[in-house]
Amino acid sequence: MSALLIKLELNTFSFKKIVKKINYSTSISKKRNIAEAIALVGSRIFNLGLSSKMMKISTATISNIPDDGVGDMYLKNTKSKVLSLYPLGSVTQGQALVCVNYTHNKKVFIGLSADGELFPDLIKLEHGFNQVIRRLNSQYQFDGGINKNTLDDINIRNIGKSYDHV
Amino acid sequence: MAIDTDKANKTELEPLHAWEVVFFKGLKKTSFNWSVIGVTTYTKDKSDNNDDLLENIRSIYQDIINNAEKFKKIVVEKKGKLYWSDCKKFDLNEHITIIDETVVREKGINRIVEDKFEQPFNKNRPYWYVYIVDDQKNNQYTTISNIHHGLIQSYPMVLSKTFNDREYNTNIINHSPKKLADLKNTNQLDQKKPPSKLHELLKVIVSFGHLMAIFVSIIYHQRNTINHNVVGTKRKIALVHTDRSLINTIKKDLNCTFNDVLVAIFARALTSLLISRGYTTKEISKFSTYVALPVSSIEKNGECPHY
Repeated sequence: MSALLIKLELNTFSFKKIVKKINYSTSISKKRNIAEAIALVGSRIFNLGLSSKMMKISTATISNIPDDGVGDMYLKNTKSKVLSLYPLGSVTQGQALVCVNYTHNKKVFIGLSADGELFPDLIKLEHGFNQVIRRLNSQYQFDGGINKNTLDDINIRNIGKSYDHV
Repeated sequence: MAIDTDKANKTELEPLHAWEVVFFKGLKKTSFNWSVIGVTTYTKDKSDNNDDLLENIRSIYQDIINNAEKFKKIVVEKKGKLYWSDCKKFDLNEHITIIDETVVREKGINRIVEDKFEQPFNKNRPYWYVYIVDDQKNNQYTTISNIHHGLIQSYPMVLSKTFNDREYNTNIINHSPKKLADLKNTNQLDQKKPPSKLHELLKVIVSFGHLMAIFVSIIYHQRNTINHNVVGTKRKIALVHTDRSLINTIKKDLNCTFNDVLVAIFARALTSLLISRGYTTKEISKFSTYVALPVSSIEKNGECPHY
């Protein structure tokens, strides 16, 4: 199996800068040209016996289940409407956690599964997600368009400190 | 997981694909489980009762089995090679069960799912299970589908068989294989302007630098890491959701992809978790944290990825 490794900048506090860095790292594998070929060959060193070493430096796998459906989903032959669908992936050897996304209609469902010994406090990661999403929601007000100047101001340096009670 | 050698001689055998071997061979050596779990919550109609629900799920999975034979097969070993073999004792009722109400009250859905993650698959039964959790209080029910990663190629089919046909949005980029095939026929995928040679050269240099940076990180991997060398048997899960419109708005604003935004949110959430553990900003900067993004060729040619 092939995978592209992306370094996470955990000490960068501007959300915009983080997205830009991630986009820069991933973009080399998204274009159909020689650069893409090199990137993919590099990423496929999983197949050349280096997988265990690579997996050890990779903390997480982030994957998605594509679904371009719109409109409500129902269990087949019933009137039971789907309220949520969370996908959860298996934690691979040497890694710590797996994040799988399923996007359908107006929602993105994110399933986090982790090694219980490394993440007994996984609920704090869930709270971290919710807090970041809340901050982004407050930045991107849907009533008056986007204020591009405010995104750099998102400073979530103190988010974790509010988890002490958890 | 031990592979049953005796059965290999008695039934018709189909060799595993190379990518399937990766998943099933690994099970012999490691303690972790290759579960792919879907937790789906539905509204409950007043007229629904548990028997009807069970019967519906059974008929859906019977249809799935009819379309994917591996859902009623097991893996056997013969002369060191792995094969798919019919499971003669297969019983649909063993694979679809309703979880007892008292268990639901005691544990809650998250703990039930964690339990399923921690339990290895029965080597003598096909590698999938569905559990139904009846939430009478909220007039809802939840299904927990536990499918082995080795059956992952059938997952889109499982989704299409489980849910009613829906209207499809033809404007989004991540097309279905059928849509891709249609686009290919009309040459819409090949109409992109080719990049200039200078542009190509610059990207080759950048790509090479990026790869070198990864190699250097591997060689000098002396920094803090969250990982263990060996994954334990315990599992924790968490479920989060957000609005698609939020991600799409950020995506358009920053001219990036949907996945870039999600990875960035993940990075921020992980930082906040480390801060909550008491790490300082300086200590966090020493963490060597990479995420692996699976690369597939599905988006380009509509076919399944090769492993």
